[in-house]
Formats: sequence, C-alpha cells, structure tokens
Amino acid sequence: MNVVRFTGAYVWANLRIALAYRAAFFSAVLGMVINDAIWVVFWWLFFTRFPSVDGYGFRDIVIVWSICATAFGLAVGLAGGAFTLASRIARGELDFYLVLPKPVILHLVVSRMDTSGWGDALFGVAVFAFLASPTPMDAVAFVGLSLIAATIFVSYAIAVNSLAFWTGRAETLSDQLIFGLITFATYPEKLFTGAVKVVLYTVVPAGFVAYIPVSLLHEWDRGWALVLLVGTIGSISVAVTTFTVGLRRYQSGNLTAMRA
Amino acid sequence: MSTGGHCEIAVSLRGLTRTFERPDLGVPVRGLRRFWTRRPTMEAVALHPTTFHVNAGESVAFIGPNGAGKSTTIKILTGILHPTAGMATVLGHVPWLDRDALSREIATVFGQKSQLWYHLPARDSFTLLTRIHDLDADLARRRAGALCERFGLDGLLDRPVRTLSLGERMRCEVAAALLHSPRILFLDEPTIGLDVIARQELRSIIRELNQRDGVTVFLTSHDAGDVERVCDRAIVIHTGRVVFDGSIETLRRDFVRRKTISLELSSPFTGESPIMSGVVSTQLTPMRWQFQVDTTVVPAETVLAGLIGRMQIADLTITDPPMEDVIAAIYGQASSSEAVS
Repeated sequence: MNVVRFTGAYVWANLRIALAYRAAFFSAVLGMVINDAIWVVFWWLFFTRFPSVDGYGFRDIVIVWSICATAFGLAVGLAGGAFTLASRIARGELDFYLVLPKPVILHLVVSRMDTSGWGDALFGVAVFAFLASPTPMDAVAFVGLSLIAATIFVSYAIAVNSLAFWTGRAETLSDQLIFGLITFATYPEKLFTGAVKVVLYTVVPAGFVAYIPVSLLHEWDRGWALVLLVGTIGSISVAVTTFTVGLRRYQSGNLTAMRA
Repeated sequence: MSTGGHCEIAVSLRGLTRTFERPDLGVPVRGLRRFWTRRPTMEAVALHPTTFHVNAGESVAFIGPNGAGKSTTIKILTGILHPTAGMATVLGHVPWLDRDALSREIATVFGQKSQLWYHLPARDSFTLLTRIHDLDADLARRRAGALCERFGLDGLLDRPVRTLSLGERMRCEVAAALLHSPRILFLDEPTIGLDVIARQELRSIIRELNQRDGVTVFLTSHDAGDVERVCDRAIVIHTGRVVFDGSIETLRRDFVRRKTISLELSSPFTGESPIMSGVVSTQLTPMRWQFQVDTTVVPAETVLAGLIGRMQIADLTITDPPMEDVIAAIYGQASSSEAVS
C-alpha cells in the first residue's frame, strides 16, 4: 500500500511539474498524437491498395498500434525514469536515490515522466475505441494487456539501460534497442520467421509486447496467456537482476545537480 | 550485523578501504589496436585503510584537500558506494548492506546536489519526502511546521524552489533532510556558494541541531568558518590517509607550529628591531608590535622572555594561527607530498 501511495505521490508531482509549463505539455501531447496518426494513415492507405498481408488486415494493424502506443505511453508517462537510466548512471546521479528508504529501482523509474507519453496513450485508447470496434470484454482485455505490455517495456528499458554500469555509456545502444523493440512490435508478426522470430521473443521481446497480446485480443487462449505471464515475470526478473548486479559497479559522480 | 538499537558509537570505521581501476595512460596503445585491445588498467587508491570512531552527539569536521578521500568516505558511510575492504558501521548498520534501515536514521545534505524538486514549491518536496520515508501525514505536517518556524521558512515554502536564493534553498534543504528526525546528519560542503549572512545562519542552525537536539554531525567543508563554528573535533585526511584526529583547539595549536605574539607598549620602543631565529617581527604602530613565532625553532616563552626585558609592555596576547591558515597548511602539505611522489 505504501508503494502505491509513494508511486501516486510521484505521478502527481511529475504531473504538476509538467503542468507548470502548460504550453510545452499540451504541445508535446498533441505532437505525439499527430506523429502516431500519420503512421495509422500510412497503413490505412496501404491496406486500401493491398487489403491483406498474409492474413493481416487494417483492423489487426489498428489493434497492434493501439496496444503498442498505449503501453509505451503508459511506460514513459508513469515510469519515464527507466528510459533515462543509462545517462543518469553514466553521470553518477543515483546518490539521491541510494540514501532514501525505498527500493532504488522503483524510485528511479517513477521519478521521471515523459509528457509525450500521454499523447501515445491518448492516441492508443482513441484508436482502439473508434477503429477497432471493441466489445466491453475487448475493452477490459485491452486495458489489462496494455498494462502487461507497459510492464515489459519498462523492464526492457531498465535492463538495456543498466548496461551503462558495465559500458560507462549506453544511451545510444539502449535507445536503439528500445527503438528496435517499438519498430518490430508495430509490424505484423507474420513478416518474421526463423531466427528473427527467436530474437523477437528473447533479445527484442516484441512478441510479448505486441504479438501475444494481439492474438489474445483476437481469441483468448489459456496457453498463450500463461506464456505471456511467464514472459512478463521473466522480463521483470532480468531487469531487476541486471540493475542490482550492476549497482555494485556504480561510481558516484560530483556533478552539480538539481532535481528537475 | 545490523542491530539498529541505541549505541554509544555512532560511526565506526575499521580499515575501510576503497580502490578503483583506471586506465593506465603510461602504457601507450597505438594504431588500430586501440579500438579492440583492452587498455591496461592500474589500481588507484581513493581511500587507504582508515580507522576512526565518532561518538553519538559529536560534531566532527572531516577535512582535507580535493581528492583526499572525504567524499568517498561519506558515500561509503551513507551506503552509496561499496568499499573494497574493511568494515564500517553507522548506528550499528553496515551501510552498503543495510541501506534501507540506515536511511531512516540518517540524513544527507550535499551543497552541490539539491534534494528538493526544482520546479515545485518546497512544500511539495516535503510531501514527497513524507511518502518516501513512510511518515504519518499528521506527524510530518507538525514536524514540517516546527522546522519552518525554527529555520524561518515562512513565505518560502509556497514558492517554486527555482525562485529561491541559494541561502533560502539551503535552509529548505536542511529542513527537508530533518523531516524524518535523523540521528546523524552528513553534510558535504553545505555552505558552498553562500554569502556571509547565509553561511552564518546555516552554521548556527547546524550547531543548534547538534547541541540542542543531540544530532550527530559529520561535516566536510573547505571553509574554515564551518569547521570552527560548527565542530568540536576534526579528522584530517589527505591522500586517503587520516593524518590528524583531535579537537579543533589541538588542530589549531599543533598542526601549524606557529604563534602570534601581539604587544601593546606603554612607551614607544626606539631600539633596534629584536632579531631572533624563527621569529618575524612587524611594527604596526610605534606602540604596537607583532611577532610571528615558529615554535619548532624557538618556544614562544623564550621569545616572550626576551621581549619583556627590552620593551615596556602594557598588554600582550598570544594567539594560535587562524583556522584558515591551518587548513591552507594542510592542503599545502598535501600538494607538496604529491609533488615529491
């Protein structure tokens, strides 16, 4: 319960900071909605010319995009600290979190908010509601699956950003891996086969972020739900272990710092 | 290992050591090989095996030049860094193993690292810290009210931190650090960048916390005033080794072997300036003289005895060197030993 109150206090504080600069906040949100909409328009134009790609239609792409956008938006909106971890490790900025009585990794991830994430989330929910023709059960499943996919996004960000404990600088690598995850997650699964598919269920877990949630939205399957659950727990475990082991290598810095 | 109970010794270090690897720039790796060859590394020592104890309720200045190992020690004692060897306990906790429990009993204030949220009013930082420390909301509100009254924060709490002056911000920083009633306060250069008035205010706040509330204070600073006005004891470290551990008075008296004898004369001295080995004399006015005595060459008593026979003295004072000079001497020793090595 304390963890919920603690997280809620941070989300509220981050929102207040974001709203202290209202024009910047709303332009970031609107900019992201437009950015996401351009991609959906692209796919709409594509499917008007080629109605099906290996069984995938426009509605499938809409569902993929809505889950990915909502999940990523929630991830960076509620736990944006996971995505800036590498630079904070490299600059030795973890001291503040290490001297306070809360799990360091939890504290770090909730300490930042990327306001553009709310644009992603808004877009994802709107597209699902208006273009995917969901039933009430679909809507419930959508919320649950988006939260699970968001958890995997955050876990993945923690794991790849924690490489900075070993490499010193890992911002570029972690950004590329996260960008790769988003890219693979927003294309139809059937485009990928063989070794690439193995990669998409391990090193770049697009399968857990998008493919399994989308297939569960189409048709509930207890076996795939279990795989998704195991994948989620596995990704959290990898993230926490990578961060915890890496933290022993942490070298504090002497940069002058403000909690902005 | 962690007991967390009341203990007389607040901080204890036994052979605490910290080394780290850094590239050995003396071994050149040339050509394309440098892109795939692992650069040779060497072990650098940030902290040689260090042993000292701090009793509960003490106010200790931990001083030394840049790179001496002060921040490394504080960071190990607050659980930020792991040591390479040795043992340390703070209030019975091993900092790097029991960080969560320890953090509920200590507070840290870093002059160069703000713990307040820059864009929010300080009051919101207090609210967040209440959640972070799992404090009862009513209790925290009462405590915050008391701290505000004591530190004169009325009118500051509702302004965004970015609009506060450095002095106002530091008062808020210390108040925020005390919200959970810590038993030890670690301060790393708390007065850096502050003007004279703000420095004095902050020093008196810290002094009062130590003397009235019994909070153990462990302070690092390059400012002689902080050391003198806040602390009773000094631990001097340089090149990772403790070179002095004693009272501030002893530090001032013994670290720099120099006394200043100031004389007020009852009649002008017309003779030749007294010349003694180890003594530098200065005539300030015809009636006022000052003698800088190097006590490693000649005892102050010998100089005084010689002067009493020659001058008509109305008043005299013997003073130890100012703390500023003591700290300068410590830092000077550090740089000369570095130059030798």
